[in-house]
Amino acid sequence: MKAVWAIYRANFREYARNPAVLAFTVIMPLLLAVFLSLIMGNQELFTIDYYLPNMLGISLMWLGVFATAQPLVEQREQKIFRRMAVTPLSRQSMLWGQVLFRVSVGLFQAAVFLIAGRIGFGVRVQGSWFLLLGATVMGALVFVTMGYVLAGLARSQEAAPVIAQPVQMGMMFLSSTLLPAAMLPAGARVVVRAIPLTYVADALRQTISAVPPMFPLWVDFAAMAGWILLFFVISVKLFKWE
Amino acid sequence: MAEHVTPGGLTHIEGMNRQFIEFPPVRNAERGGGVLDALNWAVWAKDLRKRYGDVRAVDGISFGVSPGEVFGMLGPNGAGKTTTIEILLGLRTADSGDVRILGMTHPEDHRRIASVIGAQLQTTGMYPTHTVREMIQLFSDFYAEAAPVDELMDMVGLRDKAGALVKNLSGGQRQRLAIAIALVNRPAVVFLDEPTTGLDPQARRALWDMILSLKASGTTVLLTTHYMEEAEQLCDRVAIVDRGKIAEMDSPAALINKYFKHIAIEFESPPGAEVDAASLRSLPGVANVAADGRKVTLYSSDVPATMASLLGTASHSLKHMVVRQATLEDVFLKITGRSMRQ
Repeated sequence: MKAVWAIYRANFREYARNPAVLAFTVIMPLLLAVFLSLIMGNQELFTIDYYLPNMLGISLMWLGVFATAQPLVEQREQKIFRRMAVTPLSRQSMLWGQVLFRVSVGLFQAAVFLIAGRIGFGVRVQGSWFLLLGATVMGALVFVTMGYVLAGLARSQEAAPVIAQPVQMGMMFLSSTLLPAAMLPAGARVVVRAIPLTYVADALRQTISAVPPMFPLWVDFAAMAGWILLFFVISVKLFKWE
Repeated sequence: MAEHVTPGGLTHIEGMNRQFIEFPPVRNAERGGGVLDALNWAVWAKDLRKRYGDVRAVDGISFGVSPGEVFGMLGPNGAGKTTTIEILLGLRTADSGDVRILGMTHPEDHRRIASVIGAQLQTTGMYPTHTVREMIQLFSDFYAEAAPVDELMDMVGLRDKAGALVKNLSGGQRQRLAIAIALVNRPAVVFLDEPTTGLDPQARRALWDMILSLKASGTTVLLTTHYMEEAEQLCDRVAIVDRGKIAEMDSPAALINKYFKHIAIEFESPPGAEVDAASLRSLPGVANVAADGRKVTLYSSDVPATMASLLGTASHSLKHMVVRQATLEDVFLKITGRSMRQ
């Protein structure tokens, strides 16, 4: 337990002292939400109610890319995990510390978004707080497990962005977070349904601002659970500590 | 405790992994030869082998380190020292061979071993935006009991850097931090992989003192180095490792004595000139000649006679001439035919 907490704090320090990662996981998506709603806000659908949950979804995705995959690859190259393998720290404790830390960053991101939305735009949570908490934790887990898959695919620090950037850019444009799926061509709409961010964002929209749902909420949760399981299984196969 | 002999000839005592083992004193006669009884040694390796593709990185290495001993593995880069240490630490699996650390082995006792040993690896493995104090505290939290952080910082002389970030430390400071981390659990056995590489002479001396005080407190130390002087100063025994094999193993004094009953005369031959080993060997008193590039070493039993005739021959510019006792460096050159720092 002491060791899990030690790993948690260590990861937190590395996160909090890295301004670039803080910017990507919190400030950038929040600014995107504000700008997009200001630019597009005169059309009925594209309000802050639409963009705030969507950009929270994107910030969770960036948690998976910039605060999970990237530091994992870096720390593997810095031989940190290798050094820890010569201590009594177990892999399980290490993993628990890392995942708990990242889920709490997800909760922190949600809190920042909700407070900013409330103060700046008077956005009030329309759905159940309990389901919102569930959607945030599940959404964070989807992208954290994805981060371990990406870190498993990337053999080096240089390879990490090459693999992660197309994935996250593709998801951003094809997940109905920037534009509603209805505005995309029919072929792209099939892809929308295959992307995890679609379900994370839909669940967040439904619980935060009651925007008309794409799917029943239980479908979003089931899809998120499916993606977590899938990413978990793949990461067990792919991810290497050393 | 039930005792039985395994097919490999090892005495294995059931239940030994579940308790601390009191070591019987090792008699000198048992060192070097006879039956290697795994339980008498703090670190014991038998016929370790590891190959990468066609390269035999470790090619049949066997040795034992007595409790409280400082044992050095000496050899050039790529000799197999680091791979051996990594096998002993359980970071790599040997293709074949057997390892006992305080009577325990990998992987079944890995965490138990990890809790009583300390290790400084060549790749230091630290979070760049952690301070020195945070980094030591982090590793302390992995053990049930740990030494006070302040005490560890004092030991390696990093107290005034307590608040400095790892990424802002110099190479030598980082190295010292890695050594402090290796000592957080007050280990019974410490593995140091090239601990003084990258340290300035002053820090190197300080580290030698620290290793000697570890020895004085009964800690077993296994270190690798390619500094001969370091091995001579620190080690009770050294294993000279070359191309994955142990070429020789004994105390530094015994090794020097075994190979060199002579005084070394060292000089540099002029550029372009061929070193004529045969004619040098025929000089009076010369027992052996070693040439490494332009550097020539004569081992003489009669220094005045050798010097007189050497100074009489005009063919040698006697640049950088030194007359000295033989060192481990000479032993290495003699055994392997190569110098250490090529």
